[in-house]
Amino acid sequence: MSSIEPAADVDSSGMLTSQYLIRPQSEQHSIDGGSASLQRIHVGRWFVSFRRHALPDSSITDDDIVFQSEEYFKRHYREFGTSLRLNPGQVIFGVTLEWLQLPFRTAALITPAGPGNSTGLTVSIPTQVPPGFNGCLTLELLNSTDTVIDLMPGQFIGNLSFAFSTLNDIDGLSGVNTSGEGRIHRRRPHLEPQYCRELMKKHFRML
Amino acid sequence: MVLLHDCRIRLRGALELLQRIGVAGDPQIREGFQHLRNELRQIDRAIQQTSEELSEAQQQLVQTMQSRLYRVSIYAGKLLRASNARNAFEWFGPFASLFRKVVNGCEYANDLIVFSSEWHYNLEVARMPLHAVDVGSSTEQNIAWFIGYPAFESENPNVLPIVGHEIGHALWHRKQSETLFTPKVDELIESHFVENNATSREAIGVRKHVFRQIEELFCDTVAALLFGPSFLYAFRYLLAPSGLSLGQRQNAGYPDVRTRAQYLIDLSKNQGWSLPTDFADVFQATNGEAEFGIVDGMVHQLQPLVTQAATVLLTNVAPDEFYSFDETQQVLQDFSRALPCRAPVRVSSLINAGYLLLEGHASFEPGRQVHREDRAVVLSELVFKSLELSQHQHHAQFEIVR
Repeated sequence: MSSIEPAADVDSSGMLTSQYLIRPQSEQHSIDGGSASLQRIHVGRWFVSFRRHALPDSSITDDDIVFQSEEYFKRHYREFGTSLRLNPGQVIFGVTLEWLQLPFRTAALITPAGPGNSTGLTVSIPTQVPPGFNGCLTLELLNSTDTVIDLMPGQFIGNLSFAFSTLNDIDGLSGVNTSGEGRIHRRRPHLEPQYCRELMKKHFRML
Repeated sequence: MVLLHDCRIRLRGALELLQRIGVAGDPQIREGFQHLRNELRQIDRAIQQTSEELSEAQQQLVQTMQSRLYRVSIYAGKLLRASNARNAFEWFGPFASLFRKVVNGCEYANDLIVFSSEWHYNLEVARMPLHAVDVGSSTEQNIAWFIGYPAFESENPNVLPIVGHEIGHALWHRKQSETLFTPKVDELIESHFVENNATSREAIGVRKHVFRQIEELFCDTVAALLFGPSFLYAFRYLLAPSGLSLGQRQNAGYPDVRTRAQYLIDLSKNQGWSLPTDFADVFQATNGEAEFGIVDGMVHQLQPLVTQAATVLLTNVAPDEFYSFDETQQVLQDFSRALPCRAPVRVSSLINAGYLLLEGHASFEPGRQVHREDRAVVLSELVFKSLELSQHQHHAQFEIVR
């Protein structure tokens, strides 16, 4: 973004606003104030892992088949109070427990934090949450230690900080969909084909 | 004895498989598998203690054991399907609470509630007796309830009000509601078959079908009172135009779907709910054999009594669970901004608010509008996320108390 000066959106009544909404908290948060500029986020209950043994060893071309298929991915669900074990070197995808709705001229950045961070849990995605985002954030969680890590739904996983744009053309942001209308990010980890292909290259040395 | 030998082999295979199945997540499902293993061990002990002599009594015993094993296999399948991550697990907890409140009169009753995704469109409820528990001076039989819903609809919260109908069946059996109607039904049977014998085969058949039909109407009423207009929409979604594809109306045990819809519309008018004026138009009447007419006629006379009984019973056991228009409007404020609900509410309020947006009776706020073809998916995410967040709040409170 070319500017990080506080800016305002126009709400439904035509009033200027710079508020974001997050559930489960009920109140609106103003980003102008200093205290609310850092938002704690927690890990949710749905996870997706790769079935590594089943991944193809050549280039992937058929997005629709490969990326939706249970042949390559396994879904996991955990109740509150239980945990999911992450083995050394294992990568898994989760979602935030929080549902975040950003104004159309405000982006957010995620910074890993919490107990998992100090024990070697790497949270590497997303680095940037696009303006107008609505839904749960997909998290890429990597156990970079040589011991197991137990992930618990509701566990503190990171902080969100916010950035503001004064640009009118927010679609200039690279790699993000800011269309807003009709687009929400789901409560389960959602892997876009392009993103998924990059992850496979990164973690599994694929073409 | 070859029968006994075969039975032991079957048992061994079943036990080994059940012991291998590992289920993470829902404690209800783990507990269910534990019950099934115990059941198999009981059968195993009984078989081990049986002598090898070939006698009629032994044959009878083996047959009984085989029946129990057959039942266990059905329930094991349901448990396994209930644990599959294709399910939207978010609704299991809230619906189990609702079930316990309505059927047991207490949210923390010991009955086991399992929701399993079935590979057909017939919703069903099955029950398996568990161990008996001492409750003060009496003994109460705990039950495992298995409620099946269509696997293809597992991500569609709009079908969930139909589960209310299955809760109605459980309530009907738990409260032995049949006894409420026995005198009136017998009176009708005797007056109709006055010239024939009221104990004739035909009269017995008609009586049985009358009871089945009024049970269905009772369950419709329970579901409608719990879920409000959303039950009617879900009813239309699954059963219109005639319900014949689901095997209904193949005998007189099911009321005609159009008649059921009309009873529901009457109920909604009495309750002050608004429905589209052409709501009933999509339903088709299904006429059957002569017996259908006799049964339908009797059921029509009994229908006001059925509605009254269901209302009174539900008011006694779960007065707080009735559909609430005000709460639905509260949820709508959040949903129309494409946000999950901010506070824990009844499940019915979430689903009804979703329907208002889905059917175009309410609209999304500017800037958060959703294309018509995406609405079902968006609303499904909002309903399930709202349920999850309310469970999180409940869990957080529980953790603090503990």
